[in-house]
Amino acid sequence: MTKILDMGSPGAVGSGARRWLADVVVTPKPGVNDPEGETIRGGLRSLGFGVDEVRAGRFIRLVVAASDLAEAERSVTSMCEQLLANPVIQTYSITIVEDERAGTGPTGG
Amino acid sequence: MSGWVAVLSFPGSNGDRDALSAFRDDVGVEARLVDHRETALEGASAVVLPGGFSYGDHLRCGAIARFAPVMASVRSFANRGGPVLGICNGFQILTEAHLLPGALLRNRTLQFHCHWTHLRFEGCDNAWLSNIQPGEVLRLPVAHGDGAFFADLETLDRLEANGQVIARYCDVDGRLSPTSNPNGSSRAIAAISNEDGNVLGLMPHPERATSPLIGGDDGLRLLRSVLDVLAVPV
Repeated sequence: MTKILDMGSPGAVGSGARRWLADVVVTPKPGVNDPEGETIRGGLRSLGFGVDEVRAGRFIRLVVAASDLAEAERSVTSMCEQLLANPVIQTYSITIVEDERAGTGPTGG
Repeated sequence: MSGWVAVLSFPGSNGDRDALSAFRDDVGVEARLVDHRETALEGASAVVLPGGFSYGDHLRCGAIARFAPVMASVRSFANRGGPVLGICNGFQILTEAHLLPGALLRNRTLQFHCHWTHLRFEGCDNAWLSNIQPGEVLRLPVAHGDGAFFADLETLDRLEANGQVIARYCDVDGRLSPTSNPNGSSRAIAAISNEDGNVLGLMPHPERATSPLIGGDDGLRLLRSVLDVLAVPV
């Protein structure tokens, strides 16, 4: 049960590892009822927009330390599988870029 | 009779005292609150995961509680065949912990549902149902925002085939209708069992239906099964 606390982290930030910005988007799987998305669609239609489908999800931005992109991807994928998404009802997508923002604090600039 | 009922208490649980009182005062068995930081359940004969909003329901209902220190003990207790009851948020935690299949989604109406419901019990091959016969209708309250049971079609068919669908929302006569399913649960499912029949999860609150003074006492029918549970050492 404590596996989540040690998911292959390459080490603490500042140990020489590079920092990466990972954007995770979690959405309901196809076929899973999404009343929030339906409600948003209703609102958009009442404003006159021709929207056929809305799926509402969650956006999570992470800053992770990893020695390269592949390692960062492995780590964030593992986070999604174990906690950030529930594979029974949700899918996820991950976008990772190197964190080149000013500052070295864990939240960046 | 030996043993005691462990009622878990997570940050944000609000049904833990209700459950404790129901077992102690209404059923008349020894029950103790067990803090989420505990790691031992020695001597417990049954474990109850109560309702509430553990960890503020952040990320998903039950998603964080799954990692509480006590949950490793709950998992081994369940794997040994110990009876585990998850009520409302407790049910959500059990699905997130993969001790029960499926998941609980936001209510179809997007509204918090807090009212009495009727439940038709079907499969009764579960440690918590020794006093309930298939076909019986019980009246129990619900209080949840995320109670729509979901599983993929294959899983739903398997649950039905295995008799793991324990109860469905129905009308007062036990009939299923679109209006008797308050939250949009797949196949109106309100309660399910694991394959081995020792873990039960349900959205309605039996611990809040223990006396006519509070609107009904059908919950005692379910909770009193613990008397049979305590007679059997785990």
